[in-house]
Amino acid sequence: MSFRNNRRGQIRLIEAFFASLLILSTLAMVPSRGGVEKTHYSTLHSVGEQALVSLDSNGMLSTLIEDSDWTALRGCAQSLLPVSLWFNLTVFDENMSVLNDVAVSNGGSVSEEIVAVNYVCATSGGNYAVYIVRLQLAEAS
Amino acid sequence: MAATTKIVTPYMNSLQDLNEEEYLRKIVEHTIVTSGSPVNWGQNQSITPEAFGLAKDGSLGYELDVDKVSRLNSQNSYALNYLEMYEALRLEKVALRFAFSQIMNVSITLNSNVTVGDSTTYSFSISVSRDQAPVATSLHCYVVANDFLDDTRSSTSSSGEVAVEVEIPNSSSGTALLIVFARASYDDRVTAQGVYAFGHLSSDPSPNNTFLNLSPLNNTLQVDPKFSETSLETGYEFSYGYDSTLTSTSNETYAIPSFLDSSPKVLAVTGWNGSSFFVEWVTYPQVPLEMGADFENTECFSFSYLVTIDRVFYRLNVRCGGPSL
Repeated sequence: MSFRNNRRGQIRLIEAFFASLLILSTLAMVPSRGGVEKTHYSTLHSVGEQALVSLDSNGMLSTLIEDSDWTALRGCAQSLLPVSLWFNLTVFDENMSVLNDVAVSNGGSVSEEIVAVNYVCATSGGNYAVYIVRLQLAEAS
Repeated sequence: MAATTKIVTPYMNSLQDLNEEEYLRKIVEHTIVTSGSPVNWGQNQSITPEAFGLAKDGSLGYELDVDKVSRLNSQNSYALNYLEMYEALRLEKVALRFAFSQIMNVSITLNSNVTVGDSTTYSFSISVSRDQAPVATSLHCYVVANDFLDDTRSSTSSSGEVAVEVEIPNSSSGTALLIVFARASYDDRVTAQGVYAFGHLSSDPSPNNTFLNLSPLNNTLQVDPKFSETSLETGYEFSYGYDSTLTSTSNETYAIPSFLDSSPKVLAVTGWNGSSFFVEWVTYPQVPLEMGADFENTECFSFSYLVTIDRVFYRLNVRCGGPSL
């Protein structure tokens, strides 16, 4: 008889069932975005890295920085990066002081996600100056 | 338990996709940054690589070998077939497709022609674009016809377009070629070419490679006539900055001189097939090209690269299918 009267366990069981249902339904409603975001990041990062490596392959990047030829640097970046991408390039010296006094960018509005690629570039000249080039990339919106 | 599995499966799949994408990306990058084995498999036509790699020997970062790339083009007599490439990759359950293209597209249209006196003037419109966006460039155009060679310079505006006129003597009737090189203003390595064949006071020319099979490799142009009555006349090499007549090293081979400018090369050979004059051409490196597995209607990963070949930028797209696709 005491077994029949003790029904509190059944209520706990039903409670646990509904709780687990709630958790699982919440999980199901959260979109699986992790993979997509990471893929997008990898693609932009890879594009930016390649553009900088390619631009620097004949020493052109450091020459343009040495000459402070920001117009040409913007033209080069524009020639190499896909048209659908927004970019902003910032050049720092070894003390992280910004060297470019004008924006090296193709302008326009951008999507929320901006990927930054940092690239260290050294001059081939006698002063052995080292520059840090930060290329920010995003999908143009 | 079943519900949990159903819910968690997409998360597991996205993780697996991510792992597979990175795995395949590393494989593709390995083929681009290594030079394969033996390292001279591109230059030596008799060698089939033991290990596949497209990089130029001793290069730093995305610089590919002009001959290794040319050997991926099926129109080259010494091209690798997919099985040879697949074996050299030393991978199982991974399929690849390489597609090389120029960084800019040069489009040529013949608008009109007017014959006055002893010559005919042709008017062309030339447009240069990149990813469908117009590009301002400097142009160097060459005209090759029967016993005739001329050149002219021009430039495209920010609309990417310009009209160019060329004059050819009427005595040079037969197939003629207009070869256009376009170069962006800031970087010589951003140079592309386009070729247009037209009939000068004659019928429309036959498609390229009708009479000859042209295979450039190791700074040598191998010319294989397809008909016994075909005779060769002159070989030319063109780049943005220079042009030269090719020196014949044997009946069917020409030496390709190395030019000092960053430009794709266009090699043109003139000749006669019976009484018909022809001009045929090939680019060196032989780009654009596509080679590899067929991914039509198949899910695959796609990786894009900016590479340099012979000091010129090209786009490389590699499509890749892995074990789970």
